[in-house]
Amino acid sequence: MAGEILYSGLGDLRLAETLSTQFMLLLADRNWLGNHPALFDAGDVSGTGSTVVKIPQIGLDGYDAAASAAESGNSANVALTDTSTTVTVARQTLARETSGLAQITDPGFLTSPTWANDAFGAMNARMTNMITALMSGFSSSVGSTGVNLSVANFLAAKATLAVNNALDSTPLAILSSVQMADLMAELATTSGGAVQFLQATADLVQARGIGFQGQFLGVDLFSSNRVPTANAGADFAGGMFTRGAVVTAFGTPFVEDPTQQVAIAGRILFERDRTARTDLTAYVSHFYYGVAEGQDLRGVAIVTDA
Amino acid sequence: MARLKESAGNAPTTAGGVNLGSTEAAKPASISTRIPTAPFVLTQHPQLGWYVFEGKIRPDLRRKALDPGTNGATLHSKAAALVAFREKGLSVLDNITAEYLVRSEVPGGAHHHFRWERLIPGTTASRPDLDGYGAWLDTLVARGHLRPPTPDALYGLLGKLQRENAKPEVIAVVEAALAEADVQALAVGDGVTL
Repeated sequence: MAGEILYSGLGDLRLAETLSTQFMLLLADRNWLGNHPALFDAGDVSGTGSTVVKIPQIGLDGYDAAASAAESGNSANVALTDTSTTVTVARQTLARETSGLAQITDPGFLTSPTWANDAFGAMNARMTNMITALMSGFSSSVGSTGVNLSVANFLAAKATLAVNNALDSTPLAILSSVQMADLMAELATTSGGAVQFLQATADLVQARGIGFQGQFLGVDLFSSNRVPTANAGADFAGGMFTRGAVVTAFGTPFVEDPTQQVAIAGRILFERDRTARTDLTAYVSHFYYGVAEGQDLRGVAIVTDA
Repeated sequence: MARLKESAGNAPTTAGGVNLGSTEAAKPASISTRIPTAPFVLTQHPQLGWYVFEGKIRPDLRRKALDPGTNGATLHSKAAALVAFREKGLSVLDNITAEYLVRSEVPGGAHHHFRWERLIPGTTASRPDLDGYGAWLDTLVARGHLRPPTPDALYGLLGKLQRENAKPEVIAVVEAALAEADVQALAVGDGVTL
């Protein structure tokens, strides 16, 4: 037999590879916190005259207990205690730039909607990076270096908040995925179901943010691989905190030219910047955001084995 | 008859005489795949900042991220952030950052980490040098960067470890140190005798 038409012989009629119409995302931690109520949003700096927001802390509503006095004795003045926390907003940015030829040959992957979604994901990742970086900074801590996170550590963290009068709202624990797995393993193998873990539902994930794992002992659990290491990399430094430990602020971007700019979710300025001479088109996004540690005693670092 | 050329995975292909390399394939396998992170300073709380590390009581240092938008830092200055840390009563090791802070190139930027944390190329894992880190921690008190723990701080540490059901050998280290500490400070209270 001869003259068969074989695939391997059709070098001018077939291609070595064709591009799929679908693509896969490269692996990354895309969990984000959303607007969890444990984050204290100090608001918008737009039009305030400063990039810094000062949040007063005032000793009211039970900070000072009333004292007894004799029937006709003087009521002594009680001094008002105050302090403050500040948060500074700064520009966070992402730029992508493509050539005309790259755009012409693109089958639909790298279009302006792709870059808009990319900007949204990038800013969420940046926000999560900035917030998780604060976990290792709390002065109070639980856990032992080189030892897996245990239920006892978790309870001790909650107890520390209670001792500090900080357990007045739903706490949020931000743990690395390793810490989360250690906690789940301990729950599954040692507690015998005596303590209940409330698995996150789709609705709750929608409301609390991707990465929300559920609730354990009244504490919302969030897992992220953006949690930093501690002790020369031997451990992860997650944390548990209540509203006021982490303060955030933002700036609303100004859309000057709606034909080239759009404010995504009202917070991210996404714009197209065309350079005709070099046939390059840049998609640049800016997000004005700041985070800071507020009341230190409202947070506990959870430092356990990496 | 023209033969079809087989392409191997991410190997560069050609089109119109131009080499089309994959950026993923072009990434050097010699660097860590960790995410970029902010530079930081180490701080210590004089009372709460102690722990048992590698069998000894040592300063428990906290990373404070310093990046524009984080902890009051801006592109131009980190001074406000450092002042704020000191106002909170923390000891700030900002004058010896070169001793502990290093940056490594990672995809998308720089990863800032401890000098004693060796990043393993091609992975997000690292290998810690615990002996080296412990030895450096010991020098902080010896060189006067930090004050030694007070008996009150040790007493607080003991209570914390007991609440967390820490290992008996860890608790024993603190008990021994507390026994050796100046108990005079505990015997004399701060209050006024009535």
